Amino acid sequence: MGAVTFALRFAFFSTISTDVLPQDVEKSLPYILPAALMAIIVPGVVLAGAAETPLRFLTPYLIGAIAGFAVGVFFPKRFWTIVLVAMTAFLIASVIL
Amino acid sequence: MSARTRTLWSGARAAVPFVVGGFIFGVLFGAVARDSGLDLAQTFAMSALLNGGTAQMIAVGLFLAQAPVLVVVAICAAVNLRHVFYSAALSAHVRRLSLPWRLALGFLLIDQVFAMAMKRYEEDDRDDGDQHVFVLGVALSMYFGWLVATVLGWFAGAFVDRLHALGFDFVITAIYIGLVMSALTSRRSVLAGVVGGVLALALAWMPYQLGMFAAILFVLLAFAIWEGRIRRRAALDST
Repeated sequence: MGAVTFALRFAFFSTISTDVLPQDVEKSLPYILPAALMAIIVPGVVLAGAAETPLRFLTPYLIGAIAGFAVGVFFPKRFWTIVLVAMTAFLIASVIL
Repeated sequence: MSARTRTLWSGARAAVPFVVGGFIFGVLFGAVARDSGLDLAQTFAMSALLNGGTAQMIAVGLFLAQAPVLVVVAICAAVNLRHVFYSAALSAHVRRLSLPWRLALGFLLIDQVFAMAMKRYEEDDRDDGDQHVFVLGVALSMYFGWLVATVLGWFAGAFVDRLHALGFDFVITAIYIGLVMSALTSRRSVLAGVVGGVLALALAWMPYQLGMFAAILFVLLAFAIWEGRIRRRAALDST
């Protein structure tokens, strides 16, 4: 398991360079970061707690995330502000809901 | 303290919020592993060699269900498939490094390390910089935090559910939101994020996080086709 996982992570750090990829794919590599982060965030937030309360859509996770994104739209470079607002909204929502 | 050591430490410090968030998951894994009958050495070895929370959690469940080793390995690969993309995205930055450096960074390349590395290389794009030392600091911080958490979880057992119930796991999501906002620098990157997120949610029913992999792959290929069209049109226009 360790070896397979390592092979995946090391794949393009080895002598294989991204030159083997078609040029169009290589040009799209920068889009992996936003796509991967959002692919982790969205299901995590929307489905959090869904197992316990399947019909309750508005969870502290969703409220925290919405607050974080809302601040992020206006201050995208203020990393800590976004994190703190999201955490605070999450904690307040956890108490209220 | 040399400049390199300082950079290493600044990387380690920058990763602290992630370590805290990951800590809960590590503790949870340690507790689950013990419940599943793994001894301390086996639990520790799994964290030390695999270094990947979700894959470890699933592997423990599969071992418990006495799944064949090949099946466990294949599923583990499926869970971690997205790391190939991380490797590709960082490839241009690490190509100049020596083999031991690339081996170390490759081994330690998890979601959080990838995100922090991309941010660092975007802020500091020198060709001969010491960004990799910073990234190693981040990665080692995460790695040792993960090992300590695993061991603590193995001993703490029942206490763990309460921590989880307090919602400490949201810390990681909050950090990801902070990171993704600074990565959404163009309309296209916003589109990549929205499509990746919505698709991953729609495909969340797929087992072993394959939905996440499929979503990232779709974005990569769709944008490759789009970029290709734009490039060819531009080439036609200029002739």
